[in-house]
Amino acid sequence: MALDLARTALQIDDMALAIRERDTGRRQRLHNAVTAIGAFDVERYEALRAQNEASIRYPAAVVLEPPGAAYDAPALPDDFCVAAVDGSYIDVDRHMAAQCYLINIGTVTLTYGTHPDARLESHPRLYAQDDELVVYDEANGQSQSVEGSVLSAKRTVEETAALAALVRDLPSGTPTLALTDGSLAYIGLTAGKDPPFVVRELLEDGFVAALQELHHLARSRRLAVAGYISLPGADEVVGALRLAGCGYGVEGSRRCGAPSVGRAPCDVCVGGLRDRDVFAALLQPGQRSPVFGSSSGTVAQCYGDQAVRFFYLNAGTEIARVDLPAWVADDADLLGLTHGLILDQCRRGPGYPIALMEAHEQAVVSGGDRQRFAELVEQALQNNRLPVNTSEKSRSKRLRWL
Amino acid sequence: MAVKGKTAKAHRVGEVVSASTAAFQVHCHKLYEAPPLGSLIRCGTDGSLVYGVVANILTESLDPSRKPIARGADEDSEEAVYRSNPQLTRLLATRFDAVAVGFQDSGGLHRYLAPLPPRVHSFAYRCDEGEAREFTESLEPIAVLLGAPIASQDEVVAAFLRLASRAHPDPQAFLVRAGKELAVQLIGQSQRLNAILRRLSR
Repeated sequence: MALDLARTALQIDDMALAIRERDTGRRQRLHNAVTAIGAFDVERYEALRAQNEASIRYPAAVVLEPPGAAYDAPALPDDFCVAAVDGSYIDVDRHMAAQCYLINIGTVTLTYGTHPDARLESHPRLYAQDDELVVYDEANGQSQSVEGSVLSAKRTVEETAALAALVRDLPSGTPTLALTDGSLAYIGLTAGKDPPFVVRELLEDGFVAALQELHHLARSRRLAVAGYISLPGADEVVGALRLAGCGYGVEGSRRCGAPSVGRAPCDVCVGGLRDRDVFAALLQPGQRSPVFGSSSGTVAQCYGDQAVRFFYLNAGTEIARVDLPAWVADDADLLGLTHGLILDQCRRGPGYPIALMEAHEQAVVSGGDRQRFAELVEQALQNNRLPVNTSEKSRSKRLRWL
Repeated sequence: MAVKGKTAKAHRVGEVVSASTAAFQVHCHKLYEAPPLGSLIRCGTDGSLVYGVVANILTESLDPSRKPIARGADEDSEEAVYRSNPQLTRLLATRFDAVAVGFQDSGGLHRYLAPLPPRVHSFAYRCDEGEAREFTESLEPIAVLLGAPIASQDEVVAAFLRLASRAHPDPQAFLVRAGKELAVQLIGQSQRLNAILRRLSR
């Protein structure tokens, strides 16, 4: 039987009503946030954050400059290049005949100006060797299967390594933006929560090493690196406002408006807002926010000299978040290049960076592709006279007996 | 017909991507660089050549699920749209349909359907004037084209004859001869005949 939409629709209606009720105070909170950001005392806040770093239980951005400022994009260079990557994967399926996974990386290079050009490629890679299916910890003999969130992190590592390889092949004389889809600060692994050997292999030796490779390439060329997040859900800047100005003080701010302790929101409450709500009220189309520092503990522990900064951008049709390594953010020229080229990409998109959109198109693995992949695996095993052991569950789903 | 030496890259227009004995489709190597409607082309290799007439040309998204959108509202020219969106040349494709009108094998040149279609990925070449002249010395292809299951059939016949006439030393004499052949093929269809003849004289 298909999903009973009639019964589901009633529940969706209830959900919409509940959202509307929760949203009644939103306008006031947004007003509070805009007022607070205008009067923000950076030095006082940073002192407060440093004092309370261990006890704050919500993300609160590192504020490097007055947070209410807005910047216009600088002029674009005549010739420039945008390199972008995206990836998708087929996860390990224990119901399939062979244990394996596939990562498909889409790469795009768009060259603008005197000699316009485009290169669009996809690079599928199958992982089926024993040492590819697990991450080993040689010291303790532990292992972690590469599937689910770990595979998702592995895909991000492969994307970033592919981006470095893509940039390496580009002519060094052209200003270049290397762009990835998604956050640079969070790839799905958390230091202190995920096994340390997984964090070390995938995050430190994989993702951060690829960022370092890009940093190395940037020493001999005008190269900016950024991760683009569409419809960002982060509330790190809102967290900073909360920490700086909650009516219950720093300690009480954690429970401000919390139903579990029956505490009403303070008079200047900004809780429940996302950063994008605040910057939608502050940024004109094309403008970016100031640069902030990531509050992620994983970044602090594992990223070394690749610390992550971010800004928000009014891309015309939405507020996007742009993550960038500190070495890009701290260089005014590279920061301007990032701002200008991402905005230009969004205008060409339209609405979303065209290079990322095309990288996605190269990387995407459709439902049909997944089915054909499974069939190819079975066929290859049969051709080699190997047993094709699929589960009865998988078989029953395919045959759907009446 | 001697075709050796004419398989140079300069004459190559694309590759066959689908083929039947009656017709085949060619994906052009360069966007918008299809031979004109009515052109004589050939594909395959020496000893197994199939001739076709370009019957329909289309440029569209490579991915049928992705539609091109208008991108030039702020641009000054069509060229600027492509300069500002370099990916377009990689995501659009020009293809053309060709009606099979003859073939060449060890037995010589034949102006009727080949026993087998060209292979997918065989290269397609534009025929030069010498080949076009030799192929249209006999007007048998007219009957093949008039019977082909294609849209704008009469337009294709007229375009084919107009282009072929340029390959002959006396184009007018060729068109008169072709007109007589059309009159024989289209007995009882005077309106259709006149419509094609009007297109030949322009």
